[in-house]
Amino acid sequence: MIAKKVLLNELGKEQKKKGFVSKKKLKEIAKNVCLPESEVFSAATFYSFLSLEKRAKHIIQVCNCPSSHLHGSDRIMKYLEKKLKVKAGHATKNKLFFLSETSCVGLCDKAPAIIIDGKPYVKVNEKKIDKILRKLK
Amino acid sequence: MKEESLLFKSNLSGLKAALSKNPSSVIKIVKKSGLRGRGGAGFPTGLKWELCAKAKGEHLVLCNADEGEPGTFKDKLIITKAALNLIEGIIIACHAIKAKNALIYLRGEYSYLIPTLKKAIRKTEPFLKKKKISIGIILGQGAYICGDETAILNSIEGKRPEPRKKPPYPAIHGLYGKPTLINNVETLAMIPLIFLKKFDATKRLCSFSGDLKNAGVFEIREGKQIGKLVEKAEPIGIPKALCFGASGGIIPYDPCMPLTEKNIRDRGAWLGACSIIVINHAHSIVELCESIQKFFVHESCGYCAPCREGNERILEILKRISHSEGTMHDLKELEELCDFVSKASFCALGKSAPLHVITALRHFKEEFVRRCR
Ligand code: SF4
Ligand code: FES
Repeated sequence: MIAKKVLLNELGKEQKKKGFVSKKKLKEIAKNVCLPESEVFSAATFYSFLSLEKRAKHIIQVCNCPSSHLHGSDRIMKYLEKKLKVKAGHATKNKLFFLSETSCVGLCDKAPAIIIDGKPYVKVNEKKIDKILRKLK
Repeated sequence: MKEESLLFKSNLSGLKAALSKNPSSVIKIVKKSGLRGRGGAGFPTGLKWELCAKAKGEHLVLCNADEGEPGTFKDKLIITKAALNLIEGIIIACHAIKAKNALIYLRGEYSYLIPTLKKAIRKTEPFLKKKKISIGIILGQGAYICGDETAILNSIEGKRPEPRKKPPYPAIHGLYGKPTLINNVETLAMIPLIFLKKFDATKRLCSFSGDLKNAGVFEIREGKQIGKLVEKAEPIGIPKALCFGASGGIIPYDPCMPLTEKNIRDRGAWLGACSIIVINHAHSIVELCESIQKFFVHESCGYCAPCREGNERILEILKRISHSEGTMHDLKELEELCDFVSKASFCALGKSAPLHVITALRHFKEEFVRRCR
């Protein structure tokens, strides 16, 4: 069956388990799926869900696409930047949070949407964010 | 409209009806139904099946569930509410083109739908066993370009997901060089309905979002007045414009306009995957364009220069204008750049990326001019 040896699934599994794909693991996966390491590296660095180093304990992604934009995603991002004292695309000093923008996540009917550690939060506002973050500390 | 009632549930009866027919009559029936691909390009489904079936080699079926167009969430609804319809459609496709292997490429953001898909696959187990068909799931990892029917092939093969030159078309030379039938979720979910005579080619699912109280997926009939549809979704404020996903363009809101592909095309836009984002008077078209442009800069795969560099430049200019730092010269350059990127880019992503700016400049130019020195 084809799906058994697909690089993307292997990388995805490791990312989910560890929060990143180490160089060592990348080599191992390349061997398992019978692809050259260079090709696996080139593919792995393409996808926004995959990272080759651990970014932080929690990953916060704010949708910045049209429907979320119309419902104030810019304001949400600014609020998060201020609250976490970090710029989008970076991790907090204590490596607790990594804040980033993301393309539409298919929750446009409940915009603005954010994703934290793969879990969707919809119709977010400042108050909701405070509540969510308190639980994550 | 209640979302549950949107799709007629086949409950295996469509599958049974289709499997009782031989492959060539299945293809004939799909051709006759008038079903066209719902992913955006609108290619006649039956014809695609026929082309693929005729190609030599081991046939494959690939369900494109990498719904990534901003403003689109109908495939998510179909999988959530009617995954069995989809799996039935996949099995019928396998039967029609004599494929033993099928894959579902699910966008990474929808990973929580995997159990739903697996449950539906389990329900069809007897059919899969009898026909020796296996269905695998591949989870995307966050890349819009993988929705392209050739980039998705490279993605599955473990290569960098850049688009391939067409022809050869995937139906003839697809995954690992094998004839591969690629259809999206909505298209395949319609297949069992055809065999139950419940399919109506004039209706399709539409994702409504934006400045609406009651955003969601609606079933629309071609030709219905857009105002009636928007009213149902309860607009917030007074609607000013409609935006068809990120790549379909922006047109002025005219409640009396019948919703047809032609009407939208006449205004320079494109209905595509049928996503309608409603924008009210409180929002600036310039800022909307800036937000859409950010998306394209992020999602350009970087393979060709016009799209990789051109989209960055378009964003720079849009930012300047949006911050009231642009000039009339910028505006002219913006127009030229958009024209260039749409003509010189390699794949559909780059070709359609500037459409939102082109249509915005056609219909809402004064909003840009007002912000220019
Ligand atoms: S047009 Fe854009 S997305 Fe398409 S191949 Fe070129 S760089 Fe990649
Ligand atoms: S636009 Fe934000 S989820 Fe679709």
